[in-house]
Amino acid sequence: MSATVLERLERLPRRNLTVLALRGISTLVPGSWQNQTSPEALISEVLGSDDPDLVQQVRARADELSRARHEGYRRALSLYDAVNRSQKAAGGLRVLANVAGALPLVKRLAVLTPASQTLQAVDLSLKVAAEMLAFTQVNGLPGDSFAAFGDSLREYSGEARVRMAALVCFDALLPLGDNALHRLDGLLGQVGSRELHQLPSYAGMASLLPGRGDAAHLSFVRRGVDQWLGWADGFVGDLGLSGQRAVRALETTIGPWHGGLEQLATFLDAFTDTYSHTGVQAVARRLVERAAAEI
Amino acid sequence: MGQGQAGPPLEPLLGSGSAIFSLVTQAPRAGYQEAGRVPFSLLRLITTTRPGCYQVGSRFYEPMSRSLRWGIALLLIAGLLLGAFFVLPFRSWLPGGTVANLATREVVNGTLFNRLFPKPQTGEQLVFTQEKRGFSQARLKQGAEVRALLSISDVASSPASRNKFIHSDERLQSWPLVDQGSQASALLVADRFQVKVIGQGSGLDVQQRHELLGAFDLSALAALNPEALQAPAIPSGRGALSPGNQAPLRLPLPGLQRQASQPSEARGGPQPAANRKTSLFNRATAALEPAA
Repeated sequence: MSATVLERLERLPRRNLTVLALRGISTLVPGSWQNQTSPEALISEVLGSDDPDLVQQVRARADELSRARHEGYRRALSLYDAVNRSQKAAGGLRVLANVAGALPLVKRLAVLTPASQTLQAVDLSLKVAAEMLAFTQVNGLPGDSFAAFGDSLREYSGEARVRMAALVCFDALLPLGDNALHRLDGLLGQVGSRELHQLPSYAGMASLLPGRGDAAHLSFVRRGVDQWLGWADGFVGDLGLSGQRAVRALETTIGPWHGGLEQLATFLDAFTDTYSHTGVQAVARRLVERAAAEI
Repeated sequence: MGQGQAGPPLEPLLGSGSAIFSLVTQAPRAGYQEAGRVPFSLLRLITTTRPGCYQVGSRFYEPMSRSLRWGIALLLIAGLLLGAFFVLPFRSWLPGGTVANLATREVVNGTLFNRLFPKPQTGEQLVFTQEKRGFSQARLKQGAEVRALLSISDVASSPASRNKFIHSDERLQSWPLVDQGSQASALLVADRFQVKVIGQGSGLDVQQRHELLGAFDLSALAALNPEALQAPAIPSGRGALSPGNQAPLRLPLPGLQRQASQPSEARGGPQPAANRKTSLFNRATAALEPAA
């Protein structure tokens, strides 16, 4: 992990399944979404000037800032990475369960895989917690400011809205159904430390979560999710998001889908990394905004 | 008896890897010559590693030195790993954690900058986005549109950013002013704080940006400078003292009393600067008169 934030931005894919899925979901959100992968373009957009000398200065400053551990930009990225790994693992588990459930001989193996809905609920809530922790790392607020996070969600605009729309659609509406947000709290109530430990992202995030022990972490996650739910309800209502609409939006870019919603969610979990993709872009923008102000 | 009969059919199932199993099952039939192969080779290993047990050529060969070398190598590796493991929690104390390797207490905290931002006018909204040590940033929004990024930063961690002000002739409230590109304007206050306005979206013209810069509470910002703070209280005689011997000077001197009464500085940490650098613009005296 020696790459700086802007180097990570440069390495993001320009056209693959992740980008197509995001482009599809962005049709549901007003405003246009661009797959920003060029640091120079991002810098000149923030700075309102494409003077190569200025751009170079901003770039150098941004690299210096992202190398400093105290500034938290790289730590935010490592949070997104941890969550992304967990998504892949959970997606992989559910792909396995789907495949195994269809084969008569190994059908009994499918019983061993955890209940996918609970696991999905934990995955979603860890993503929300990661979003909140990354927010505090990037913005420099103390680690448990729930109210500040709730307020800032209302300020999310442009790319950040696409990012949240992707989170809501891919991780809540598709796998858990249209009433996912109302069921989430109940699902989280069934989660014990066993489910928590099944997700690799928890191992990566445990040291960054405030509090000691699984119970404290779980209550932190649930408080964060409470804040997020309050906002997400309004978001879903305003944009009229639903599983069906999400599928139709995705079909405009990745082609027709004949399976169920849950399978689509599993497929997206296992084969795309929308969360870390947009996460790198969001952190890079904040970093460039700061570097442009400091040169 | 039963053991001997059960042996052959089980062995292919378990594979040749289960040496102990075959040892147990075949021992009664094959005798100890075969079964004892594993223990015997172990014994040979132990005996041959005794020093001076045999000679190679004319030189006395010591196999123990080799194992000793391995032992030392393993000990070193284990020591390094353990050392790394114990140093890990103190990672944040190692150099490289902060920008420009500057101790965080030497940088003015961004929390103090927040109240110095311009007051939003009707229809406008100020949303703070980042607040770090030595930096604070807000977005000026009109409705849903972002008009500008406003920020205050402490140039202590980015000394190079000071250079652009050297040749500037423009002044705003007597502080040097520089335009960077077509959308950014910067102001250097008290030779320590950079105030910057960057137009976003449809952009701002130069006049609007300069107006925004002037709307910051610049005199209060200048008063935050820990170096300039010392200047009024220090009569000419203080220069004679070496930097390490200078007293904190929290005496009831007339110059300090006025400033100590301001609430910001009670928190703001007007710490005595360990060594006063000569100001780039000789602004030290100007900073004393915040009425400017």
